[in-house]
Amino acid sequence: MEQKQFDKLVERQTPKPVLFVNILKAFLVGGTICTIGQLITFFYIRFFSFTERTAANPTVATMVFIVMILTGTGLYKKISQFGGAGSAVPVTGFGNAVISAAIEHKSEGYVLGIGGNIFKLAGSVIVFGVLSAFFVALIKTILVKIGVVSW
Amino acid sequence: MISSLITSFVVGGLFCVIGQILMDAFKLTPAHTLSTLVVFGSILDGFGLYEPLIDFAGAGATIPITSFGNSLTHGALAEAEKHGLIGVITGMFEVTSSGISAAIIFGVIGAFIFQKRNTTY
Amino acid sequence: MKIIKYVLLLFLLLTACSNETDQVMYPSNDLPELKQVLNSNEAVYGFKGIVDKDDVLVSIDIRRMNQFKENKIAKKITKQLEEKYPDKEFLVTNDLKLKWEIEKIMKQELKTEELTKSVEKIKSLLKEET
Repeated sequence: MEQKQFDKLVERQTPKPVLFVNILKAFLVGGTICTIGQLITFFYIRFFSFTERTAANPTVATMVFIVMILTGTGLYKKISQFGGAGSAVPVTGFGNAVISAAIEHKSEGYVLGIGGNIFKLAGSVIVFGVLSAFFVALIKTILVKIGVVSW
Repeated sequence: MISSLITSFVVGGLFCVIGQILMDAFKLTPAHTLSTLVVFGSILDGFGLYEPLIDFAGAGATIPITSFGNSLTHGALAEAEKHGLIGVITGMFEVTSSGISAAIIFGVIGAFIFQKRNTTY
Repeated sequence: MKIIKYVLLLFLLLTACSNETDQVMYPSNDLPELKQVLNSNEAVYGFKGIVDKDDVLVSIDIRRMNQFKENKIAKKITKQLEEKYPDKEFLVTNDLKLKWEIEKIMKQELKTEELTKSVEKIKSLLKEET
């Protein structure tokens, strides 16, 4: 069989993602996760001494704690299969990547296994976050020093 | 209060829709998508647009991974305003910690408590 | 039939959770120009305030669409209020925490020392960055 024929066959067999349904599912799952986060934020503002600005920190920590339970029991896999990006984009996806990497490599030991592999997905997020923050802040600071923009 | 829940639902959902489009239409891997979104959040804060979005949408803007890029840039800019150019490096992780710290801490605790499953996560 | 029942229930729930848009000051309303300044700003539809000697804490309710500019609106109102009452120190914010703390103080009807302590605590809370 020629290469072109083979490619066509493969193209026909691979399941095509239905874009609109995926977008809808991502919207629903992502929106639900953020709404739960908003409720947790209200809880922290009401019953603890956090303001609207500072309540984001304990909210994120609480969500990662919830994700630990969901990842360990295998429930997060089902949510991510349904939600796609809706479960990967929020910080819960970040937490799931770190926690699942930790659980998976526990057998190799804590220092080499967990310590060495925990940032398999999260590493690129942190690296590019820091890099882009550096360049954006650098450019903006230089522009302010010149006098083009103000803070 | 109800309007806060609705706006956080819509804005959070929209960020995830952007991520889904990046994954399906542009065929990016999850790592590429998340890195792109973090850079996007960082650029938005450079223009001063992300903090008003947080004022409007609350958790809808602080939960997605874009807020990580925003808080890194926000810390760098706040420190640069006070201390000049060196503040760009020193200020980055001043306001950002809960996401990474929580992920590491609960990752190790989770590894301690839970057993590995045969299927992938 | 079931759907209609659930929709009606949801509607009842939503109306019950509507914001009370009142405009009160505590302990008394001895800053009449304050209400004027706040009402002249059409983005603000309600406020709650506390006066304690020279400290005035005002929690404003801003319409949802104007919340993008809530910091700028709060700063503008602070400047306007400081022009009208130069000897008082104003803290104007949209923060939900301030609103709930003011409601707590109003309910408990704190006076003098306890009031000053609460006001100091709230002020230091609102100055935090992280």
